[in-house]
Amino acid sequence: MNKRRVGAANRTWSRIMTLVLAVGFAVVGMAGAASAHHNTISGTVACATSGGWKVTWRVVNSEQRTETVTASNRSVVPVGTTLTAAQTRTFAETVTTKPTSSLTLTLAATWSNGVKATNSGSVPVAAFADSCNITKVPAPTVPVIDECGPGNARFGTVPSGPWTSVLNSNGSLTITANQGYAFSNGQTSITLPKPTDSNVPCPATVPAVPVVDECGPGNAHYGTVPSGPWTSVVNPDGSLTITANPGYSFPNGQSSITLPTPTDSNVACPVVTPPVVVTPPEVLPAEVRVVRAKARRIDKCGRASDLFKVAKRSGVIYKSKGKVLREGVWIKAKKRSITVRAFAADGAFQLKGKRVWKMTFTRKSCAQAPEISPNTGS
Amino acid sequence: MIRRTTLAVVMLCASVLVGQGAAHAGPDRLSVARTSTDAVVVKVAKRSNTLAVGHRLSGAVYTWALGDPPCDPTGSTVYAGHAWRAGNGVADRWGQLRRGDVIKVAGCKFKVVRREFWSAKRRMGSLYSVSGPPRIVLVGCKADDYSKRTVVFAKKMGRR
Repeated sequence: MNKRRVGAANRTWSRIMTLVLAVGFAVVGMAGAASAHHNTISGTVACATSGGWKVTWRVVNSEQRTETVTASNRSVVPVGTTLTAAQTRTFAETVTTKPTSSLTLTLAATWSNGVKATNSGSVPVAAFADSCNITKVPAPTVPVIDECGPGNARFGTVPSGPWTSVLNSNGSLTITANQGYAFSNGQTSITLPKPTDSNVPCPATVPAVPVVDECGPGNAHYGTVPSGPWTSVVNPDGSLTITANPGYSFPNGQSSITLPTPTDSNVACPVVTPPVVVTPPEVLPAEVRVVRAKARRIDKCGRASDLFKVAKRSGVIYKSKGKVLREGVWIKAKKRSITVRAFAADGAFQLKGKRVWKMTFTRKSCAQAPEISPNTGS
Repeated sequence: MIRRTTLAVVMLCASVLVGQGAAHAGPDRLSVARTSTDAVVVKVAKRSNTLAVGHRLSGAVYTWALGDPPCDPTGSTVYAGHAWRAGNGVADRWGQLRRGDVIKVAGCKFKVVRREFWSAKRRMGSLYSVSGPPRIVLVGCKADDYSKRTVVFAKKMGRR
């Protein structure tokens, strides 16, 4: 009886131990499987071309089965991202602000066999070089100046900022951000195309063209067209066409206007009556000076001392055979007959009196001079 | 003796002058301040190839009626005057004229430029030229030597 009891107790104890060991082994086996499923996460940092830092995360699936990311602390690896068996995937993100502590990517994943694991990888702060830090600024808005007239649109003054600008030969404008700056789109240089001209014509006032209407019938015509940005043509019928230069238009938008043929007043010309001959006044208006010309001659015997002279008078010009004579000096008469004519020097003078002198010089020989000294005392 | 000789000379000159006849008196006068000359100008003819001077010893000078006028721009005008060693001939002191002395005649002024003494036999036709620079020539007997002539040249200066 006791042997039976002892034997039953031993079997019970043995069964308990077997159960305990089985459970233990099961737990140990499960723990070993869980530690094998993981992601290896690492990150590298480089300068982003548009400023800031480009962080490239590298995630390696440790298992020969697919996993799905179920949680992520960075949007670069969104939830739902899958990695196939033993796949290595990279995820890049741009960091514009330098972190104050290590940058960490933490992913929770579930493998296709239901195993779950959470792993992290970090990049130390020292990996973020200060030289990559670029301040982003909005690109300046450059005004466009488009005055009236064709093809004259141009850029105005470039607002001041951390950039320089160059106007290119084709009319475009290149703005380059200074060192350490970039525009909002990440570019350090932008080129604005040549502004498009609106081609709005410049307004031109219609010129007032005078009408010349002298006495007599049918002789009214347009006078001189005032100068301006236009050209004019008198048409065969007497009308006048004025065409605005390119880039100009008249107030009504027309590029050309035609003034009708001027209407003649047909005012009769006054009957010309013979002028009443009146003796010109001695004193003319202040702008006209009356001058008298004068010429004289000396006709001695022989020809050696035949001389003539024209008086020196302001406003008088003397000519003989078209040649201007020197005034105030005796001139030797080279011919027997000389005609001297006087002319007013200009409109400010008016000649009065004799204007033509016809001078003749005789050729009578000189008398024989006394050769013997006179009896004046001996 | 001297008195008779002087009288004879005067009579000789007088006979010659009277024989030539006097020309009509002209309105012009000739004056020379230095010699106190103030004489009327008398135009006379040429006779026997010499100037037919009149008989007035003082107060008159004689010029050729066909000679060159004094104030025109060319030519040479001769004025002859008597000298008498007794001291009252119009040309008695012409020998004292010097360069720069002024002679006035017919409204014109002349400045003495040269004074010479010529032999009475020297021909004087060239002094009557109608051409050349304007000038006058005073001709008179040399007061102390009638075989010579006092010849004074004066160039025209301008009107008085």
